[in-house]
Amino acid sequence: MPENLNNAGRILIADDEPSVRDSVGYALAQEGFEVTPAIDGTEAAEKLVGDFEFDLLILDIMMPGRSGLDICREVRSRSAVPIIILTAKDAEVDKIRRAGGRRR
Amino acid sequence: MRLWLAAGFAAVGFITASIMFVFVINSTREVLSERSAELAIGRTYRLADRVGEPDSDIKTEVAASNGEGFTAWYFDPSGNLTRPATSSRLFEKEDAYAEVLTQALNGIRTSDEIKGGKVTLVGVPISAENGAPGGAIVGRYSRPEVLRSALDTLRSESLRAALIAVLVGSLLGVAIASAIAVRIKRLASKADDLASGDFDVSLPTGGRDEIGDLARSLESMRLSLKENFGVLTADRDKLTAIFDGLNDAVMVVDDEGPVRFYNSAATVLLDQGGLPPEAMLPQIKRASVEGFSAHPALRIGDRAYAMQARSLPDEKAVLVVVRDRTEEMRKEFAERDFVSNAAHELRNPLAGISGAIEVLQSGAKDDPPARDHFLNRLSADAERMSRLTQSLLTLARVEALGAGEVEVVDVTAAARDVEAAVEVPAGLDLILDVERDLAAKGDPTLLRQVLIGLVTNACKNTPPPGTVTVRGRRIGDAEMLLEVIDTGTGIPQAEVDRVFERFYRRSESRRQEGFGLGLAIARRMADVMGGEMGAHSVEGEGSTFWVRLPLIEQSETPIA
Repeated sequence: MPENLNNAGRILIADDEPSVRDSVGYALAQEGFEVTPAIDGTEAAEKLVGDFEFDLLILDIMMPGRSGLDICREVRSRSAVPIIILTAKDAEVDKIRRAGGRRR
Repeated sequence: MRLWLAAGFAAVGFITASIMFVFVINSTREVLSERSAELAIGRTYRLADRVGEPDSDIKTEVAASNGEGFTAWYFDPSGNLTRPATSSRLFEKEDAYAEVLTQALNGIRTSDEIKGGKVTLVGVPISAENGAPGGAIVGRYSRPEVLRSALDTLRSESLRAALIAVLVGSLLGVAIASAIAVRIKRLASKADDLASGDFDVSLPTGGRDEIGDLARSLESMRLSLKENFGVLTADRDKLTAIFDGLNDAVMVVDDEGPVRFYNSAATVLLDQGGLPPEAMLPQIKRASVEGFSAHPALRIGDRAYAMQARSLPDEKAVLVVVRDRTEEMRKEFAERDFVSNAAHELRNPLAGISGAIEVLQSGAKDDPPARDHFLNRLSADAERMSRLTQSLLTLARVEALGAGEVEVVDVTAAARDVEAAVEVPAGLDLILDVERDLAAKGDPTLLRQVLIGLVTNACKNTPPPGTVTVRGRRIGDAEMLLEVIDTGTGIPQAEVDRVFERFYRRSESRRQEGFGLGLAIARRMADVMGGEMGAHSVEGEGSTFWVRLPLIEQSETPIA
């Protein structure tokens, strides 16, 4: 979305852990990004229907409703938007790679 | 046997008769020959004496002496046949006659037998002195036909006697053989019984002969076989009982494929045709080639088995020992999952806490609304960790509990207690439907916690308007059933059993505050009280969670 490059980036953060969601959201907002929170996978998926206007997605893997990986896989099939997957589990890395992610 | 013995007897009879026959015939013939010779010599001598007397009438004397097989010839000193005046052809044709005549003319008495002893020739010289004529007499005695036919009769009689001997011998052989055969046959049929495994029939041990000895040997063999077999049977039964008592499946699989032996634990593993499960075949094959093979967790259907196979080269088979590890592995996995889940549940609020602290430190502490927000979050996370730790401790404690001391629980009172303790949300009705004077064996504290947990859960899962019913009643004489029935959302069939797993949270209840430990704790509490806990549910209609507890005997029910 090149027309938005000059504006503050829009970020969707989906994490069912309120403190994580709020602190990451707050920090990013402080940096001038426009942050949209989603409390679980279901809400995140609702916000990603059709031509969404996010420049970055931050998704937790373990969420009620739909998992971050599930959403990532679905979004990847129609968009090249950058996605950051949050996970506390090392074992999840393989699953992330299979869902189209790269390790940073 | 009978025929052989008969033939033997017949042969002996025949040989005996033959020897006697030859002997009798020969000696008879000898005697006859001797008598013939004596007769011939006697007559010839007498004739010669008479002819040698002076003035004897040679013609009359010779003629008178002839008869009964005796013929005499008189030759004058010059060797001419004088009396009878028949031809001398015999003397010209046969050397024996001529020889006897020559000897006699030369003054030597001789006798000779010709035609196999049937004919005796005697030559006697006659003196030529004192008026005697000289010359020689030749007598010929031919054994009369009567004697010959007597000999023939004797021969045929002997032959008949031989035949009778053969016949009698055969019959006697058959009879003796039959008598022996009957006894041997009786022994043989008993021995057959022995061979077919019937050691209880005793053998006929009568008779002081060799057959009796044989029977006694067989009888003592039977007794020792019976004893040994009894020992073996007992050993086998003992082994079978041991094998059947094993939890591990034991099989002896033939190299050719079929199972030769298996214990009762192995029954479930064998397929319809009595063959070992296909998944085991590669291991069995490997063992038969390499001597040994093992697999720590072989999957057959939805179960996991540890198997060991060892080749038995002498038996041309493979010994297979299989242990069902399904429950063990399920427990291992559950344990691993539990630890990983517990870590995860602790790390989540920790991540929140670190995040909040980081945000506060990096500026939010100077932003009062944000500061308050994150402080509240910190407090909520800390409180959650504390609750989780509390739940884990409770779980650990309950799991460590053995079967507790059995107390009497007044279930009716406990239910009323729970009604008072649980805060029922608006729009929900809590109905108590517990039989009066219901008393169970259990622990009042544990039962209270279980009931409070179930009723709280039911309230959470029932959107208003709705009802939560606590029902308690006796089931038979020994049990009571306590049910918590809600009219809530229900649980999908696939999840009903899983709700008792530790840390299992239905996706629906993720947003709620629980950790998924409550039902695991409650079920464990029911176990500790010697009871049982379960659930059934229809999606959209509601769920029923039940606890089954042993009833207290009526006599010891102290209801106040």
